[in-house]
This record gives sequence, structure tokens and C-alpha cells, in this order.
Amino acid sequence: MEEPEKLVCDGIARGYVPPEVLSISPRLRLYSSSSATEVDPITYEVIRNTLLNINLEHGQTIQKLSISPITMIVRDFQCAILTEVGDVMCLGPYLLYLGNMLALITKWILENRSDEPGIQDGDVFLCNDPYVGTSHQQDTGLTSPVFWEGELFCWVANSVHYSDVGGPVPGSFCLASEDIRQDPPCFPPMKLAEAGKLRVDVEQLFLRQSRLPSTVDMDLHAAIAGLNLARERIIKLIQRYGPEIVKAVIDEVMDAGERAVVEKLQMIPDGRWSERVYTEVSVPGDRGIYVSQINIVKEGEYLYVDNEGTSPQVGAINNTYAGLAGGVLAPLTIMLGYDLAGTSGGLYRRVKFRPVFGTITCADFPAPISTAGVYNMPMVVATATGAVAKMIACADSPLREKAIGMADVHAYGGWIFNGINQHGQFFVGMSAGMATGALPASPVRDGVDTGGLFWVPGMEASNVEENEMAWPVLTLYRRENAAGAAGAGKFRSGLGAEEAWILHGTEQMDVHVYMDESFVKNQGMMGGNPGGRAFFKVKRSTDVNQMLANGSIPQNYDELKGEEEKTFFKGPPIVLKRGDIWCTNLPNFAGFGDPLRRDPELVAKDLADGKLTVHEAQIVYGLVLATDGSVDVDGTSAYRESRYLKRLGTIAKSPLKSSS
Amino acid sequence: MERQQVLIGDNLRLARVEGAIYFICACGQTLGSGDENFKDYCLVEESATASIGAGYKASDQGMADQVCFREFFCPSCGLRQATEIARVGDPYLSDIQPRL
Repeated sequence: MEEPEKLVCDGIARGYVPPEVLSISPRLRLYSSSSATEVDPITYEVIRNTLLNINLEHGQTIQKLSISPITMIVRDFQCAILTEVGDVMCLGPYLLYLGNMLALITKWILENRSDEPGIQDGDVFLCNDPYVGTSHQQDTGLTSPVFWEGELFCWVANSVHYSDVGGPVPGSFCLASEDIRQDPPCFPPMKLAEAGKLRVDVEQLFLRQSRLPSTVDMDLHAAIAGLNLARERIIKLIQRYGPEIVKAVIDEVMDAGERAVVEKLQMIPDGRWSERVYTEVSVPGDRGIYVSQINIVKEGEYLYVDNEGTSPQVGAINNTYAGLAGGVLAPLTIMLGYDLAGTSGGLYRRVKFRPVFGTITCADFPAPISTAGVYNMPMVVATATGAVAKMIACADSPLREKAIGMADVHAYGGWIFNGINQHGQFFVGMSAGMATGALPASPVRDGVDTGGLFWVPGMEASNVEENEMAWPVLTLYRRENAAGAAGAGKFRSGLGAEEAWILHGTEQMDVHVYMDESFVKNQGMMGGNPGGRAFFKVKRSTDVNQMLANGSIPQNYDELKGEEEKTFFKGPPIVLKRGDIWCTNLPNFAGFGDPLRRDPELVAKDLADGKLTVHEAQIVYGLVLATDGSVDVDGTSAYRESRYLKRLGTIAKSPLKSSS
Repeated sequence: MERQQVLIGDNLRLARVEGAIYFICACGQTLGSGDENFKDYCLVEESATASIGAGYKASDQGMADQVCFREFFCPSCGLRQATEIARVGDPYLSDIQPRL
């Protein structure tokens, strides 16, 4: 019998995995380092910080010149400086999982474009192909070589979420795709600019796919401007200090980062740690449950990562190798690279991937990928976070204190909608409900309420006025969640937030993507409660307009009169109309440790701050109050003891056993 | 220097006891040897995810019924050592296996 053809990781049949040594055309001359170059410490710091600031300025340029709220306000993008062979030297404080993807795109270009059509000064390559190195087609990468006297010195690159890149659904998140050819188009790397000149044919090809060509074009030019600025600044730096010195600093930044990571790895015992997260519904109508699993083996001074145990690829819930690697490196960057100021390249050298292909977290062509930005990528980050956090919680102090629990799994995108706005124009909106964020609990402290999303450090929540200006909506309220069971623990999660909305200036709009989970997917840490369940609630024909006319702004969704509509995870598109009210949440995240071990005074403080009810304080945390409202220390201790005994007395040992 | 124990969070450790390696609860109860899953030595309660608290109940009961909330308690002191959201019937995840 003929052997089945073995798929290669070439970015076409299977997600691109670069070899240790790239195959680059000899026609392309690389400026490689000279190990003999010595740099004095002051010059080193000046150049290192200048490079970091160039990259930050690159990001700020994108932010200032783009016009999409998701980029301009929320900062759903990333930018990086890469070595001549495409390794990440530094990345910005934005969407962390995109950093390594820029490396993958650049390495693929070096291997596949250095001979034909060639790589030259002033080129800008565009790529949105997830099998080469993007998280989904909307996160389109641009990468541009920086040459010095005819030799390729380094690269500058960015990835920006473009609001609509085509495909059958506004916003390009195609929940019903079962093949990538039902998704928005994929563009393998092609020259958007050649020798410093914009290729209008390629620009038009990209824009022609979009329902929002003008908006996407502005954002695209913001991204090009960021590249131009970074390239010019690096050239000036080379002119001032010389290429040998600048290259020596880049190399030393990578080496120093690697040494810093090795020091931390030495604080971790060898072993294996895993996390498993469940998701649901591969395409609308499906009733399946699917598994994402990440396993980390720490052996000596290296980490080996695989996704064994993950479900086979299915429906529209997939990501490629780029997503797997990026999603794992994001929490590693936070928990092992927190002191590297974005110079993560040294960390990346210490992580080796052993991917299981053909799975929902490392799919082969032609699995569709367009929805990954709001479903799979947060799920991979969450799964990896759980595994990394358990590993770090086993480390010596003070590293163990850096463990941080799992953040959101499927709440990332909030909701995605489109229609005719208050100005009479077609629009696509992506409400970043996650941007308020919440920091999960750690082994030594509570998380931070609405403390942002740790794997997108630079992300900011939009002001409600900015949303109301951009979209035909009004926010009735936005407030923090309660500190109840969701994310409870010895140390509790920071609190997420919920927001309620009504239409304004239009008669209706469509919502294609919304997060109403059938079950919580977040996992608690070391005996802590899991985070909360993400919801999307809709009430029809309410009395909200009457209340507003009477001068009252409703502050509680549940108190409004109206007809509650049942919503489902990946249910059919929802048409929102005047008089409807809808409410979304970013749930609390993972708690750490048994809630019955929480300091009673911390429970009492949440109670006093109005974050917890007396009932929840007792049920979740076993708190007993004295008649004057203070903590009854003895009563709490006795009540908690009775709860422990109840556990022992009523629970039978389960017949189930563990996985191998 | 050879490690004598690994602290796992703040209520579980992996330690040598008379030449063998065990998971040990803060109360002193052993929870299996170091090459096993400590969850196999816990009392386990499985319940519906909706039972965790307010806000966990969803519209789609049929989907929710496919998964459960597991709590793993020390059989000696009742401390909750781990929790899992898991598909009903799936094996316990062997998720923490440091080595000494």
C-alpha cells in the first residue's frame, strides 16, 4: 500500500515551522554580527533604549494615524524589530502573541522570496496567510527589510487588525466556514512596496476584498508609516554609531535576555505541567465539545511544549502553528520575561515546540482560521497560561510569585456588529469588551479589578463616548462585576465588567459574533474557583425609551421590563432594534486557592466595598459576621471547620481516574 | 544542590519521605507518590457548572450538561486542592508533575 504523502511545514500544506538554519538565497547579502566588537556599557544602554523607543514610536505612529477604533483606541496590533534572519529582537507592549508571528512571516520571506522576486531596500511585504504566520486573516502583517550599504541589517514589522478583509460576513469572522476557501482570502507574502515605491496594484488587490476599503486603506497607510519611521530611525542610529556597534548591541540584547531567562529556568524544578480547556460548537448548529490542551516539559534550561490531547481540527474553530506558538509565548513572556522590557528574543530561544498537527490548535490546510481572533487565540493563550502558571507556582521564590491565573477564554472580542450608522454610512464595529480587563489571582495576591488584559499590556478600553461617536449605540452603564463565586479563591481574581447598550440614530443593526457561553471555560488555579461565564443578554421591546424620556437612566438590566430573548453560543445573527437593550460582560478570571482559606478581613473588605453580598460572603468564603457587622473570627473559624468536615463526610471517592 | 522538596502553590508539596517521593497536603496527608496524579488520592465532588454560583447558568442546558465542575479535596483535612471544568466522563487531568 502506498504511504500517504507526508505533509511538510512549508506554510502551504501545513503551518510554517522555520528550520534552525534558514535556506536563504546567496544573492541576498546579510549583515551578520562580528563577535569581536566590544561596546562600552553606556553606549550599549543608549543604543538598546533607542531601539526600544524606535519600536514604541513605531506603535504610536500606527495608533495616531489609524482610524479604526480597534487599532486607534484599543491597540489591537503589534510591532517589532527583528534580526537579519527574522528573530524577534524586541516587540511592543501590544498583542503579545503577534510578536512571534512577525518572525514567522519574515523567515518565510527569507526562505521563499530571497531568490525570486528578491528582497531589496525599500520593500514592504504584506501577508495575512495564517499558514505562513498570522493569527487569522484580519491580523495582516507587514514586514520590511532595513539595508545598510547593500546588506540586510535587520527588519521592522507590524501586524494590525483590519476591520474587514473580505469573505462572506461583515468583519470577516466566518463562523460557518468549514474550509478556508469559505473564509476571507489568504495572501501569502507579496510586495506591497518595492524599492520604496507603493505597488498600487497590490494595495488595490487587498482593499478590493474589503467592505470598508477607505477605512482599511487609512489603517494600512498608518502601518506603512510606522515601518517607514522605524526604518529611518534605525538608519540614523547606524549612521551615528556605526553598523558594527549597533549590530553588537542587538546581539547582546538577545543574549542578555536569554541569560535572564535561563536564571529563572534554574529556579524551576524539572517536570511536566498541563492545562486543558474545553470549547463548544465548531460551526453553528453543532453540539460538540472540543479540547485544547497544552503540555510543558521543563528539562534543564529548556522548555518543550506540545498540544497532545487536543481535539482534531474541525469546523471553524482552528488556528495554525503560528497561533499555537504565539499563544504559548504570550504567557511565557509575562511570567518569565517580565523584566525584559519587550526584548523577548532570548526567551524564544529557550522554548522548543513539538506540535501535534491536524488539531484545532495546530490545524493543517485547508482548515478555516478567520474566527481564531475571538475564539481560538484567546483559548490557546488561556490554555498555555494555565500550564505556565502551574509550572511557575512550583518555582523557587520569588519567581513563584509571578504565577498568574488564566484570563478569558472566549470573551475576547466582546461582540461584532454591522449596519448603517447614525451618519447613514455602512459600518462594522468590534466592541473590545475585554479591554477593561481583569488581572487573575496569583499565589500571593488578589488580581487587579478592571486591570487590563495581561497578554495585551498596552490595550486600553475605549471611553463610552468614543464608542457612541463611532457606532449607533448609547451605553446605559458600564460597571465592575461582583466579587461573588466567579474567580473566588484564597486570592480572588480581579473583577471584570459588564456594559448595557441601546441603539441610537439608526433603526437596527446585525450582530454576527457574540459570546454567550453555555458553560464556563476558564479554569481555577490550585483549588481556586474558575472565572465567570461570558454572556450576551438581549431584552426586546423594553421600556427603556420611556424611562429615558422621564429623565431616568436604567442602571440594571434585570430591572427593565421587556421580553428576554434566549441567546446561544454561536447562535444565529441577532438583529437589534430600537427599544431593545443588550448587556455584555467580561467575566472575572481565575481564582487561586481554596476560597475557605481566604483571609476573613479581605472578605469583609470586599463586603464593605459593596463588591460582595453577605450571602455570598458566607456561601463562597465561609465568613460569619458578628451582630455589629464586624468579622466574627471564632465563628468564621468554626463555620469553616464545619464546611471542611461536611466535605469529608458527604463526598464519596470518584471511580474516575486520571489521564496518563 | 539537590532539591529536597517542591512547594506547589501554598498547600501542596512534593517531598522525599524515607527515600520515596510523595505529594503531601499542608495537613501532612500523603496524596500518592510523585509519579502519580495527586487527584487520584483526593475526594472528588462533581456537580453542574451552574452550581458554582450566580451567573453560571446559561440558556443551553443541553450543552451545559455535557460538562461538569470537579472539586478535589484532601481526604484528611477537606482542603480543596484543585478544581476542573471537564467534559463528563473525561479522565482527571494529570497536570502537575514536578520532579525531585
